[in-house]
Formats: sequence, structure tokens, C-alpha cells
Amino acid sequence: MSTAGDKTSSRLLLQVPTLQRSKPGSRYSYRNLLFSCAALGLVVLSWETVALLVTGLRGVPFPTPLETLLKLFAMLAGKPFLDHSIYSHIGTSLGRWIGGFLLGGSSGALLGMACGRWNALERLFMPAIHVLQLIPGLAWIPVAILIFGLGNGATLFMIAVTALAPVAINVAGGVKRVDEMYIRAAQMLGLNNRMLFLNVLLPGALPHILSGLRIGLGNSWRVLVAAEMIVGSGTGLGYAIIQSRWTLDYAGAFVCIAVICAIGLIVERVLFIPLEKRTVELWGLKRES
Amino acid sequence: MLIEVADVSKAYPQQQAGPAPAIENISFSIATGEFVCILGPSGCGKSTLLNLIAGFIQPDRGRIAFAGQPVRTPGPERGVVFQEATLFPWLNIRQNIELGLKAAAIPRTRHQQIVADSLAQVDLDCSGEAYPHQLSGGMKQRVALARVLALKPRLLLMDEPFSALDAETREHLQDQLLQICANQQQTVLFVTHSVEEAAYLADRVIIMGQPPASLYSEVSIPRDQPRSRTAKELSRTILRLRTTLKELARVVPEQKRN
Repeated sequence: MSTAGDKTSSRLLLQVPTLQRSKPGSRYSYRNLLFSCAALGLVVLSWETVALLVTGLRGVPFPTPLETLLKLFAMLAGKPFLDHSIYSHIGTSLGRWIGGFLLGGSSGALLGMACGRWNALERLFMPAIHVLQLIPGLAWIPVAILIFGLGNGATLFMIAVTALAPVAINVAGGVKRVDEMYIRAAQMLGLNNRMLFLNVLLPGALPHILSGLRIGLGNSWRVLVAAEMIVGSGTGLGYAIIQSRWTLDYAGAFVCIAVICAIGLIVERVLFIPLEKRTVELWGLKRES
Repeated sequence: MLIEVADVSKAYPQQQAGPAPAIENISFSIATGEFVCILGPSGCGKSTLLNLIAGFIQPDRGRIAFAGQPVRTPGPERGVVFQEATLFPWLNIRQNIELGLKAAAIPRTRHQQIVADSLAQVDLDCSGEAYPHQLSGGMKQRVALARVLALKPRLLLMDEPFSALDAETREHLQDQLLQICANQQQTVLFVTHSVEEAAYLADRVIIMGQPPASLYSEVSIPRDQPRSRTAKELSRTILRLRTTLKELARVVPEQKRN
């Protein structure tokens, strides 16, 4: 029997639903910790087994986890490795990586956005970008050397070119997949093209943009290490690893490999997971994976 | 006349089985302050008609004029409430409402007041900091209405806005909509497939038949009596609308057979 303006019962509908944010229970996080430790233990155990087997059967000194750890501490304490401290190797590699990625990632993102929005551009650029993605990072070595010669330019080029394709493809896909209804709603509200881009297409495509950046960063990190092995110029983690062939300092090489893994993990934990928490998860857009 | 639709036709290329939503030679007009419902079975092209007036799509033939000017693009003077709330998930409630204000270049100092006013209009007194996915369906639809009302549209276009809600919420929102219209002489074009909804809300109902909906008819509902869901007049109106719908449905299949 409700008539217009039936206020009392209308109030009942207005209880703000409790915000659904799962607090990690202590038992839950305890189990998580246990699993993380077990996973790490598994890696160390297999490494130790392989090291003992190789040393025993082939008679070559395969560094064990403990030796590598000790070497890591020594290097962190400032012991130079191939004329440079570990910090200098890390710093050079990170610098090249960030520089190359900024170059390739940003041009990939811009290209992807434009291609996602305008069909003509997509048909013009996307075939080339898809082909680009099929080229393994290392195949760029001759091209890089031909254009830039040996040195930093070639490394930067290889990083940029491997980061570009996955970023562009994911961003374009993300922009295209923004629900047409959001675009209609934005136009109805009077948004111009610039506002539509910044307020609707960009945040709407963010889940895809983030996965594109993830893949791009991973690709370029891997190609960086490889590029340093061949066209690098005397410093960098990749250079340090490949030089251990001549110096026979395998423990040092293993330290560099571990550092490379650690940097990858740190980027994921420090950059992507918090970024996702603050955006995609907050908006309820997290994709079921 | 605020909106004039003259001999408008629109057809889509057939994509799936079943009748394609198409309209043929439809003409009607809406005066300022009127509440007009478009009623018809699903797939009769009533949403197409609304999208044409909103400016999302262009007619194949015919003219649509808003306040004397031809409609070419969507715009804030013709606010739309969709079947889904289509709030932007990445903006909280306050930001969702403010986005239109920013686009209209309304000074920032006035935003807070406008947001509060429009939320009060839809009787929503929750925090503007909540995100859309934290709201119930009814609350989302209230925010979607508030977002449009904040821009003071001359015409409010509503595309089955309450059809996804449960009956109780739907009735509350219908009552609130009527109150808003009574308070500020809001002109509304409301698309629905529910006979009861059309009979309860509208001053005038445009009834569309099966596609191609060249056949349609209009029923005016006198509004001098107080609105009530239990009044005899309402059931009489519902009966009238049902009869007209059936007549339209009967005519078209016979034409198709020929």
C-alpha cells in the first residue's frame, strides 16, 4: 500500500552495505607463511641436490646455496666483482632497464591507446606490432649492433623494442574492451574527447594496461640480461654472469642470477601488487584468474 | 514542444534469430513537463527510439528535434538513466556525480553543494566516498539518477531503469521519481515493458507493437486524481493498455503472413 512519498519504508533501503573487505585472519596468513617457506625450501633443496650431484659426478665446483649466500654477503660488503662493486653492476642494469622500458613502454602505451580508439590506426599499425611480438628478443642483436654499434645504445634499443609490443597490444585490447555503455554515459554527461580518454578509457582499460606493463617489464628484463652478455660494455649483471666463463667465479655468477630474480620479485611486490590494490581491486574490477 | 519526432525510421542489419528491433515512420512529440512512457514487448524497438532521441544513434529517415534544434550528438541537456546504472567503477559516488559538473565547467566551489542536493533528491544519504560495486542495485540506480539530475537536464530519458530491481525497491524508486517530477516540472520519457509501471507513472503512453513497429498508438491518462497503486482508475488504465497492446500484436502477424 505504498503511495508517493512513503518515506519511512524508503529509509529501510538506505542502510549502506558493509564494505566487503576481507581481513586476513591470523590463521590464514599463518598458513600462507608456511607455504611460502616450503616453496623456498623446495628450491634450496633441489639446488643443493644438483650441486652435490654435479660436484660429485663431474668433479667441477658447482656453487651450493650456502656458498652463494656467503659470496653474496661478501659482495654486498663491497668486494669488487670484475672491477666493479655489485652495486655498480645492479645500478647500471637497472638504469638501462628503466631507461629502455620508459622509452618502449610509453610509446607502446600511446600507440596502443590510439589503436584501441581509432579503427583505422589499428588496421595500420597492429599487424606490424603483432609481428614485432613474434621476434625473440635476442634476434634483435644484429639489428641493434648494425644501428647503434656495440654499447649502451644497442642495449637500450633491444629493451625498448621488446617492451613495446606487449604493452601496445594489451593497451589496445583494454581500450577496445571498455564497455560501450560507459562511453555512451560519458558522452551523455557532456565529456569531451580529452576527458573521455582520461576519465573513462584510461581507467577502464587499466587492468589490461597493468598486465601489458607486467609482460613488457618481464620481457625487457630478460632481454637486458641477454643483451649485456653480448653488446654490453663492461658492467651490468648480464655482463658479470657471462664473464664468469673466463674468471671461473661461478659463485659470483650465481649471486648475479639470484639478484636478477630478487629484483623481478621486488618490482612485482613493490610496484604492481600495491598499484593493483589501490586501483583495480578498490574498484571491484579484479578479473577472476 | 520540447521533443519532436517526425516520420523516424531505423533498422538494424539482422544479427540473431528473432525480430530485429526496427522502427518505421514513428511520429510523436513531448511537451515540457510531460511524463511519457513508451510501452511495448521486448524487441519492439522502444530502446532504439530512446537511443535516437539521446543522440547515441542516427535515424535512417526522419527528423528528431530537441527544443527546435536537430539532435545529432548526446548531451547533458538530455540526461539518460540506463537499465544498468553504468556508474564508472573507478570513481566513487561523489566523483561520479562531479564528472558531469566538471565537463560542464561548473566552478569547483559549487560541486559539494550540488552533489549533496542531488543525492538528497533521490533520498540517498550515504557517504559519497563509497565505490559503486559496494552499493546495492537500487542504490546504484539512485546514484545514476542523481548524476543526471545534478546537470539539470531539460529532458530525462529513462531506459527500463527499474526493471532489474526487486519489486519493493522498484515501487519506492517509482514513487521517488514521481515526487521529483512533481517538484520541478521535469519532462520524462520513460521506456518500459511493464503495463503496470506505465499506467502508474505516465501522463501519456505510447504503445508500440511488434517490429517493424510502424504501428503504435497513444493512450492519455488523466492525472487529476491522486496517484495510488490501489485506485480503481489504475486498474482501468492497465486494462486499457493491455487491450491496446493485444490489438497491436494481433494486427502485425497477419500482415507478415501476406
